[in-house]
Amino acid sequence: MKTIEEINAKIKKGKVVVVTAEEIIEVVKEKGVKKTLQEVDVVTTGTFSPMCSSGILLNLKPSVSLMKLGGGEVYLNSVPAYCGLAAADIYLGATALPEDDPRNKVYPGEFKYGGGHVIEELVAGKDIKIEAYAYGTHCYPRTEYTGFINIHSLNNAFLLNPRNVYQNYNVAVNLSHKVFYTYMGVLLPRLGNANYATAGQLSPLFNDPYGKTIGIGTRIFLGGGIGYVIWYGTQHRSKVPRTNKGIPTRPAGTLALIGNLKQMNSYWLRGVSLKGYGVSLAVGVGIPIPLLDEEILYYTLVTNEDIHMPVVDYGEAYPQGKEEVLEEVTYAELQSGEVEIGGKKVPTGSLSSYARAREVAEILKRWIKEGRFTLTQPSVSLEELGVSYG
Amino acid sequence: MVKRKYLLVFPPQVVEQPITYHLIHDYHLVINILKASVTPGKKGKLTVEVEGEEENLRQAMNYLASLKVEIRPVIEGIKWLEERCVHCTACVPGCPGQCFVVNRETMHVSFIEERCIGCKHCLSVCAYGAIILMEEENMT
Repeated sequence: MKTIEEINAKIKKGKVVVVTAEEIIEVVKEKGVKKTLQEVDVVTTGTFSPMCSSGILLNLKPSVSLMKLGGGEVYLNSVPAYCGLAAADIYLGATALPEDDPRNKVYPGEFKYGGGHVIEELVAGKDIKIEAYAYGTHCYPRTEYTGFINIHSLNNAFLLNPRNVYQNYNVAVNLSHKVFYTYMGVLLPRLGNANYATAGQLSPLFNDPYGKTIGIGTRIFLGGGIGYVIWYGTQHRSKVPRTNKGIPTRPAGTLALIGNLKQMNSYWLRGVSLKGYGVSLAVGVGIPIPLLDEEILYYTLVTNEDIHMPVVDYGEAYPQGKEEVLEEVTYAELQSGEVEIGGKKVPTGSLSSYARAREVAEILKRWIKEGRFTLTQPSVSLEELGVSYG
Repeated sequence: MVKRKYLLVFPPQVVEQPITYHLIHDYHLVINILKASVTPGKKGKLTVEVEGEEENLRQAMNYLASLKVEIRPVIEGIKWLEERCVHCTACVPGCPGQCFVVNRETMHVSFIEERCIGCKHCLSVCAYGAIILMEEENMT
């Protein structure tokens, strides 16, 4: 048994031993569980994937002052932001679109620019055009403002994501006879491809499948900076079918995240254009897992072969609200480039970047080793939170 | 030996002639048809990769010109912007030329331009703006 305090003391002394979620598998093979537990303190995870339920919370002071934006309208590079908050607070969601974007009127729409792209450009330090309209009050008389903001001119800028880091997700296929444009990418007819997301054995919630170490207040890598878990994410489900190793076999856990946008960078926050579907934001997230006991270590040994993902037909079943699972395939099979579904060999494509997930886990490992990142004890673990929410 | 890509536009009156046969037989060219739209009585389009001796190719072009076939060198092409690519692999399935290759160890994607037949499927599937048409790039 180890404690977070003991691990943090080792981090401060520069004596902490950190490995990635891939490396731990090999370490245990070589040294065995007992010795690994004595020697290794932290396992780092990572993921990089489109996460639509992402957005930024901005306080526009001092750029836009004397203006009551609450109840008004604000556009950032023509993309509308939410204004139902206080005078200077706005929220821009990743999927927001300019009002003159044709959407899917000429099908399939291109969705070249939206909230996700504004976020990427703002983080990259570019100037963003702001147009604001308010009704004017005695205390805030200004009714119109047009100008430019950038990340440095903002009072506050937070990345605030209601749902990220999906624990498992559907593998999308198309059994129909026409092309389908979905949030899982372009799906070719008659099982032309199988698209998937998540980072497999590197993915945070596959390495702590019951959320024993992750919870409210967990410090994480977020968008190239430091962030925190604030709650379980929307659509979070903990009571799901699991393998005998505890790995969910259906879409399951999610996390709500927050972090200071000013520390982040656009390599880890990328606008995404999904043809025929819309705009999103790809987010890099990494979570450290403290190896406190044998059980926690055991879960970090998850391999791509252990992860079973449900194959769902987006050509017919999904749009009708039926999430019938055709069969299950493993992440290892998906990553090989080809899976067998219904006796047919189907080429696979991922929307998440495994290469980038690996980079996240490596960066987080380096931060911890260099003493720049210490671990946190969550005030309430995901396991405790999730129990009452089916 | 030279290898070039052309878009050949046939006027309606020659669409039904076996022109490709003559290019192969009379001028000893290796013809790889990348894309074709041929309807009797209508203007036809053929995107081809042509391989042969420089002199034969020159004579073949004269032959095509004598038939009023329009010859346009294919300059539009798919370009992969490595610095925009996040290596997600969404572009890999569905590419008829299998241009996008994944190193399964590193899970990095690379693009083999020579295999590209210009079908533009990848333009629809890349969500990160890492694949563009060359002509688009010239505009910006």
